[in-house]
Amino acid sequence: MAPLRARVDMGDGAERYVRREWIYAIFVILCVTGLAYLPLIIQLGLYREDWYLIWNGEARTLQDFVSLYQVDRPFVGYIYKLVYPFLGSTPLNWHIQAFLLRLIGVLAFFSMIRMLWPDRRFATTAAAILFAVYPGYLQQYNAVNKTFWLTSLTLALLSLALTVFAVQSRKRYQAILATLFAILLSAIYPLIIEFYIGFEAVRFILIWFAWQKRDAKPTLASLKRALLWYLPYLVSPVIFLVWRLFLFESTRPTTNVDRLLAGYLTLPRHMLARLIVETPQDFYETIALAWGVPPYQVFSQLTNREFLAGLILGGVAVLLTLSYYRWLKNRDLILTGQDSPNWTREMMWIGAITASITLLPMILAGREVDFSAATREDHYTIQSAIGATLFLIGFFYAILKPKLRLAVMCALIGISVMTQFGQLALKRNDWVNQKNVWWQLAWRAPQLIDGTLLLVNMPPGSGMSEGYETWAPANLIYSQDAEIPRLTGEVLYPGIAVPLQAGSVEPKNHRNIRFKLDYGKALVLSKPSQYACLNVIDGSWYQLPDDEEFSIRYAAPYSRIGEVVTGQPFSTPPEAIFGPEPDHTWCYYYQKAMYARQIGDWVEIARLGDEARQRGFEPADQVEWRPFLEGYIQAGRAADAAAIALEIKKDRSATRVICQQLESSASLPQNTPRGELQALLCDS
Amino acid sequence: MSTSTKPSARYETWLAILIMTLVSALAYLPLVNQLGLYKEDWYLIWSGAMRTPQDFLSLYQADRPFAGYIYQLVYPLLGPTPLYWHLLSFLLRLAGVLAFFWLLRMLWPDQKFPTLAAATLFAVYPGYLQQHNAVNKTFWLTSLTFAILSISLTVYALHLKGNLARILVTVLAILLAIYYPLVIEFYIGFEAVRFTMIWYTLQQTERKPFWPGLGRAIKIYLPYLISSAIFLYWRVFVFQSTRPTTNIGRLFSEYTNLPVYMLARIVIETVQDFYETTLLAWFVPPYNLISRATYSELALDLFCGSLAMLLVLLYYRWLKQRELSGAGDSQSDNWSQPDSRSAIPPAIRAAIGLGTVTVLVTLLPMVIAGREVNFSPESRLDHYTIQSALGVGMLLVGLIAYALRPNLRLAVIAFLIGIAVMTQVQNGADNARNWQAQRSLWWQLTWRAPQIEKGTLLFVDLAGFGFGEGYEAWAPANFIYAPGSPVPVIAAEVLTDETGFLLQKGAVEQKNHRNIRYDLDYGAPLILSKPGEFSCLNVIDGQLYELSKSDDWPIRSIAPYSRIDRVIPEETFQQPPEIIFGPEPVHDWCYYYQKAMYARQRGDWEAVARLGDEVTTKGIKPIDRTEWVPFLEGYAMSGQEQQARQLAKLIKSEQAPRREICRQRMEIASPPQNYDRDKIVSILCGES
Repeated sequence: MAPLRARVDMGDGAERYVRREWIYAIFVILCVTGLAYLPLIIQLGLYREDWYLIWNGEARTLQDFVSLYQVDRPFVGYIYKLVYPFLGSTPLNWHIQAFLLRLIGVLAFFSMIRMLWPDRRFATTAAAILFAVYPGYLQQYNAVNKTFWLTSLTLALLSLALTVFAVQSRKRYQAILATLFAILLSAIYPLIIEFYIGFEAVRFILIWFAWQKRDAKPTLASLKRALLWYLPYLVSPVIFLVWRLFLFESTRPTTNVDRLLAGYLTLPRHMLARLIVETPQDFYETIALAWGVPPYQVFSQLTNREFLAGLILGGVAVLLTLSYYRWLKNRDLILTGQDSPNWTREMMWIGAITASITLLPMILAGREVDFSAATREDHYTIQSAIGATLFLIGFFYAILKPKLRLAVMCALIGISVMTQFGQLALKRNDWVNQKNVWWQLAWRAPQLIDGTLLLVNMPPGSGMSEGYETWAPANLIYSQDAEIPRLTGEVLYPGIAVPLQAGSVEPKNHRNIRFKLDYGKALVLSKPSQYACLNVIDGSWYQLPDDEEFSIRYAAPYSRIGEVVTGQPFSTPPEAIFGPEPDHTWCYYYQKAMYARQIGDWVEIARLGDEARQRGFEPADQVEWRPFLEGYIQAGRAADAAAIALEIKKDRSATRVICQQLESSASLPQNTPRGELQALLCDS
Repeated sequence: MSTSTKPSARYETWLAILIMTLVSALAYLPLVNQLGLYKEDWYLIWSGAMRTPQDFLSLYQADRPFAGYIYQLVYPLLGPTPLYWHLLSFLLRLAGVLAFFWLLRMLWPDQKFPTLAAATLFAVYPGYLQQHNAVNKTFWLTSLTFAILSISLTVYALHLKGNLARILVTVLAILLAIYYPLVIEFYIGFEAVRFTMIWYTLQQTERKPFWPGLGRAIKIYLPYLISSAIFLYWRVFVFQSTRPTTNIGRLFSEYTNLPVYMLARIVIETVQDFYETTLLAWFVPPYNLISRATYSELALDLFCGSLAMLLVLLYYRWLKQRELSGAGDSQSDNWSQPDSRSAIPPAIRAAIGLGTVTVLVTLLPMVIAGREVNFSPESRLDHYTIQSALGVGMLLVGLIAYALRPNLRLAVIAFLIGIAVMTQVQNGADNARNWQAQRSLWWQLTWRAPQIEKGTLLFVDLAGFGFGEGYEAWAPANFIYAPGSPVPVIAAEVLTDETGFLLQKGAVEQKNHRNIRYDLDYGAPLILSKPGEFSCLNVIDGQLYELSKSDDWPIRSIAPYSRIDRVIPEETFQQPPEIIFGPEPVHDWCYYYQKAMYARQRGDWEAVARLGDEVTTKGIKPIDRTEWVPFLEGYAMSGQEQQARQLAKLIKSEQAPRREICRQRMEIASPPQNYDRDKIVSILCGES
């Protein structure tokens, strides 16, 4: 809409390019955004909160989405209720949707700033690109969960763009329609994410600024006009605030207004000091540090190959931006125009105010921006990223010489694309690890007893922070239709040491999903490295590698292999989520051998051993030969047993681990060939 | 140096030196008396105090044999007092900065402010946060300072007219050039910097065409080349390093086995490290540190940072005023010239070029040697940036002068200096807290344990300040419990998955740390845990222990293996040497807790109860309520059940730890002789 209305005063030659420029700009924005988020999209999966949402969609009714969010954001559930039937459980659909939502938000932002600075073509396009790939927000992978965040953000940005359009519109019906639509959107988005309410202050600033630009009136006169214009918009935030402050009772501590208020009343000085310190700190982090800290954190974890791929993508993004710049320059569209000479100052001010006031409600609510990967609190930056990019672009134009300005903007775009790509590469690896764990569990365990509590140690880079990351996939595999999780899960944190020892039962309520954590029915799973197979630990007869985590060492004796039900058909993980079954390589044979070991089917173990060896498979950790060694011994195949023993003995550590347990454990399974194992492995 | 002869110009150099000294002092000195010993400092100070100065040589024989001579020389002067080492470290850093400033002023005598800015940025560079590791970094900083001084002398020699003076200065520069790479081998990249500086200086003074100029630069560089060649010959063909990371044979075999990979690594790593050293250093370390500062620390950071900015601004103002009155050569001072859209001024171009080359060539040997820059606080690999930081100073000042409009240049420089000073001050604050925690740990151990059995293997968990190597525990322990012994009689190891495994197995291993040899007897472990800032030290008795809810998995896993019998009860209590550990802290809760735990170990329940009465009278309480347990036991065992039940009520508010303690008490296979387990369990674990 903006270019049609742009106040253009240029030569005939340049004028005919205006419309084409609009298309080119959007093309570049699309391409750069695509380069950042799409290259690995089909390899991404489910992460963190995504899991319980997908489980809910699969195992329960759509209405249950509403109950999930009743505790803190009661309107969010309706989004999932609406969207889930279309997207289903396939991760790719959600990732595409998250990408599209992000893109729509970017285009809304782009159209808004084009309306405000119509002649600043490159600056506005660059701002939109920087917002699209802003590296201070690295949560795009968390696609299912971030659906409502991105929906709220996109609605807010659309609403702002419509407001600016209405102010600038010379046709009354257009202005009324746009205002009505903007008001409608402004009534919805804070119901989804409450701390985005700061956008309402941004709206006022934009109205005021747009009025000043439109009528070129003195500040006070346009302020009065802006206030009048803003009045209808005030209705929805007031209603929202009344509802949120006086009617709605959040039972989640971080979104509970009473708890927050109590904090301010009990420690007023501390809370005030916090506000004073946190606001500039978060502002600086969002505007400046976001371009350095998250990129560093991501780059330092990438392999050389991933880094190179990122470098290429970043390079292509830079080339695209440069080609657009050149195109503009060749057509004299770079510096022509009638924007106020103070436009850089305007952009910086609006950017700085936007960044600050969109951060403020979040800080008031006791939260803060944090770039550490563990906290994931970079998701508090995205609403302020529009301000950050505007500020930066204005700043670059104000202080840098033209050539360098272009170089710096391109460098930021390149780095941001690399960062976003790098983050998704790390998440792709995480998904590979997750899929591996669940497929291997499906190979190993036909079924699990009701109430089994899974304690899972994932390989480095795929740490779990909540129990639902365990129980949701487990239930999707083993108990797809149960409305209450039949299998449970918890994170291995020191707090579970005591209940694990005691075998106690503890109730859990996660967003109205209620179940009991029965520590007496714990089953410990560990995949200590990318290359090791999943170890479904039998607390009475297990080997752990030297570098196994302390948490697993502690929990292993409490792992009950009896939770794995034998003699039932094997469950298959749903392909829509977990993808096609991986190739049957070493870990497949290992899991099948461990299962056969559990049921004492020695002949089957020997058969599996023969097949694995014939196909040239071997373990990364020699200790994984153990079930085959037992199988060959029990099947009376002494020569093969001796050959396997030799393989194990190549790794002194593996040998030591097995021998130590043979020596010390009083509770080995009865059918363990203890003497033979000791003779083959330990007596030398 | 400066072409001006006016009085203010003469003062200017001294004023600039004063400003740099003050800014450096603001960055490194505000908390210097609260800093102590960290990481490698410990075994160096232990070696100095317990062995002969000659033994410093053997410490470094494995990798950098010339580093030991520095300690042999310096230790007798400084002794074990941490403060002296921190002051030495500061002075070394300052000497390097001043040498760099001298070099810059020789290269660009008229660029007063930019040269000061570059040197100050180098002085407070936030990408290097190892200043606190003062004892260990003495040889790093010595090598660095020698390298910079040597290059400065080389350039100075080029400016000298008299032959004798030039020869003398050149000889001094060569001597320094021989020594510094013998101390830190990967600083050899400075030789490429030297050549570039010679070439640039000749270009400035003789203005010869490129090739003849290059030929002349090579000719002047030849004597230096010989010293570098001798060094390289020695390092590559003569010296055999037994430390893997500095072993050339190992490195060479990696390059021959995986040539494509290793070459690709060099390219990628160099690009990455360049980016990290020049740009990210101003983002990542400041963020890592300042984002976790307390409000009071933040206030100090801000105060020092602002003061540093103010000093720089005042200096600029002073300069500007003198320029207005005719001082300085404003024609060639690009800093204050108005924005020019024409060609880049030569001095700016040179600063960018020389800065880039310096960063690259000083990073390259380190990258080739298989190492890399890393800003994660755990890795401490930011110490690979310092040799490149002077290049960063030049490059940034050049870029800022080139890219920004004049009024903003000053603001950005001042801002960078402010941020850097804040970062360094916060680093000091973090390390002051670390030292406080270390001192508290060792003082509490001496309150708790009169003596520790020889051959004991300590495992220490100091929450928030994890130890990276065993010597961080055995060195202080031996200072306290085995003063005078030239070998560590008490060993220590870091708690890792692997050592945890060895502990469970009770293995015995030999350890050789830089020719300090000792046994690690995993069958004789004593586990110490200080799980939180406000928790007391817990010297764990594997038979009778209480864990805090803050104790992590490793301690939980190995607690039962801790042997309290390694603490010898009936001996005189040791006193940590004050010169290192400072004066004895006030007797707060932890003092009484340790004394109660000691009395519990001896079965002296009356003493425990007396201590309980004393803390009650004094109104002292623990933060972690599980620390009431020994007092509860003391009251219960000395017949004061009423008091015991009062404490039980307090402890019950910590549900999970209490349950764990109860379970542990119930599972004791053989309770201590005069320990009435049933009584304790009924009081502590009963419902009432």
